[in-house]
Amino acid sequence: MKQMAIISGKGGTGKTTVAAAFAELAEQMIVADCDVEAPNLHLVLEHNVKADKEYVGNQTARIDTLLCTHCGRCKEVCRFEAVTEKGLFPYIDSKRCEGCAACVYACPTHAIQLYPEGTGKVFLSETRVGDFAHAELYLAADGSGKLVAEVRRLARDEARRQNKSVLIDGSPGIGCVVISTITGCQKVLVVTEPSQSGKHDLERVIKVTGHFKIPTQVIINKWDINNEVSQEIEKACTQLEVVVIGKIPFDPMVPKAIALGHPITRYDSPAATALREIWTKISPELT
Amino acid sequence: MRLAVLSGKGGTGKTTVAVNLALSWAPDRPTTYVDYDVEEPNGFIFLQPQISSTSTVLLPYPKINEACTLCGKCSEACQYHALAVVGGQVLVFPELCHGCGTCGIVCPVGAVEEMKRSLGQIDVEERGGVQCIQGILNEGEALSGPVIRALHYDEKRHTSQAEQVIIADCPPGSSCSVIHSAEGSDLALLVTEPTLFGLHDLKIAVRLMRELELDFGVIQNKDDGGPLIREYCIQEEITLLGSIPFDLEIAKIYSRGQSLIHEPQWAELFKTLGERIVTEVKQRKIRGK
Amino acid sequence: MRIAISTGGRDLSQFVDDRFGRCPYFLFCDSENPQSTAEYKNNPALSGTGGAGIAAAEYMAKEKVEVLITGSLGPNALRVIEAGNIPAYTASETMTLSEAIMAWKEGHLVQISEAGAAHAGER
Repeated sequence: MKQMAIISGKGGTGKTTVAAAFAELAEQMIVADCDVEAPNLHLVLEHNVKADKEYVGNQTARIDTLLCTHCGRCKEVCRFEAVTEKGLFPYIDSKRCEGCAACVYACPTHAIQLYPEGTGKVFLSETRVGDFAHAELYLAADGSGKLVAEVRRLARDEARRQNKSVLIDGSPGIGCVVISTITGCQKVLVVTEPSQSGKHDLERVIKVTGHFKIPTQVIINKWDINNEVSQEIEKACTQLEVVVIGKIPFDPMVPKAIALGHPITRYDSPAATALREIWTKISPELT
Repeated sequence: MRLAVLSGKGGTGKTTVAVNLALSWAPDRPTTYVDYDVEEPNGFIFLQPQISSTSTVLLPYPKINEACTLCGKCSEACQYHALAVVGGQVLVFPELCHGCGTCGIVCPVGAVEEMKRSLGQIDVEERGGVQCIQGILNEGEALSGPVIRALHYDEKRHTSQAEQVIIADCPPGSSCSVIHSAEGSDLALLVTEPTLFGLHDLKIAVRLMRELELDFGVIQNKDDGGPLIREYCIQEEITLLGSIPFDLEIAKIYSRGQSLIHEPQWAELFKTLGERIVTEVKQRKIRGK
Repeated sequence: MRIAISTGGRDLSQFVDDRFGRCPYFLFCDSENPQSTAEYKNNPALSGTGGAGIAAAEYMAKEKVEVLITGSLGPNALRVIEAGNIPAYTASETMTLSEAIMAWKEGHLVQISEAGAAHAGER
């Protein structure tokens, strides 16, 4: 069972556009949307939710005011500024509380306990092109990295059951959410754009995939917006020993396809052609 | 006045808006730009400031000394499995450690010493009248929280003047990183684009702002003249503060890593947008009273 | 010798589960008499959040496991297993628990000396 993640470093480069196109072309993969904070893939994959489950991944501390002696130890030991006041008693702000249990152990009267807190909801949906695992983070919840791991687990279980590979739509950034998205994958595709910001962020994300030793390839999306920077990116990739597997031209049909809720590959357009070519190169490794 | 620029969806133009507003205001008032997107900070590409100071963000992790009796309490208490007692020793996994200090609290014999390791850095710089502060998470690290906390602390240290404008360029998404970057702001500027994905993620950002009770307004970037965002704002009674047109020229200037306000038409646009924002903040303060 | 195997089911005819930190159960048994000594326990690392491999490896040490059979070990889990002096062997998911025990006895299983890819990191 192979797993491939599509990430970007910089946001807005076209990960979901690429992921939806590949899902459509593959027709035999389990698809996962690991951008749990701002999920978009479900908007272009016609889907029916067949199962959903709450994921409880966090804990938050709560003070029992009947046992509290106002000693202030909890506030002293909390390194996340989570202990404030509500009326006469100390109060733990669950938006800041990281569930580390320092206050639980520090409290001399055992007035503080950890309680489980829901992180979000995980969904398994069916689509025309295969099963689809995705999630929604509860508003202002902590633990998006863990929610990503849940989506990965769901996708992996289905992939084993059905003997298919996994295609993952990732999120921008390089921190815990992205790390959770890429670990254990056989390959990472980085979708970048021809801008100085895109290049800067690409170099950082390649360092991260290199740190985790995951084979990485790059797609330059909307390359013709700035051919110079596009070439700078290709040079940088050569130096970093990373292959640019393809380039997609700027294509006004893409937002139109998205607006209709369809992957771009359902249409005849320059971007669709480029994506089909890239898929032909990539797909043998995934099946 | 402190403003937070965020979006939900990546790539809608947060940094474009934040940087150009900062450059637009700088000649008239003390302005500070703070880049809270510590995973992929981009503001400095456009501001190109002169570095005046860099500090390392350190995260503590435990080291177990000879006083240890292998009682196992540290491993039991650690919520992150960063300590394992096995084979007559305590193994420490610094990359899993959140720096919370719980192990030190439960150790009955004082065997836990605190070491520090580098998680990221903060640069404070200056260019063209804008004080620029950015936080950078080291590649391969998972925890951005401590870098963001350190950045907040530095922001406070460097912005004690009255009549200051602070612009916090926030990360994409809707996580606690976004929340901690945006809190304490007078107004949040939600930068969106008129696409299906843009609108979907704007709705998430709006719900987040309402949950946090943070005042906000919307700025539409890559405006194609269509009704998508306008109608949503009218429906939801959300203030549309302004818009930046969809223009391949803007895309090209941005792609070169240049700010827009060197072109007179965009300088004018950002000046107007800036004035609109200042008015909005003043009006809400009055209404609030 | 006391053997532990990561598994998804609670019978010797069930299969090896190759996800050490995230398997639902562990089989514990004596290598000389697997049938009559087999015990199945829930993997305590499942309910935790990050560092599942570490937690599962610590559990092996606590259970005084002398031989571990699983798919692969991430770098953190491997460090704990090695510190606990527990030799670990790799078996594929296509093997039943009985087959895996037999294969180990006959010396057909390869010892794990290198970490597999870090499993989905959770923070």
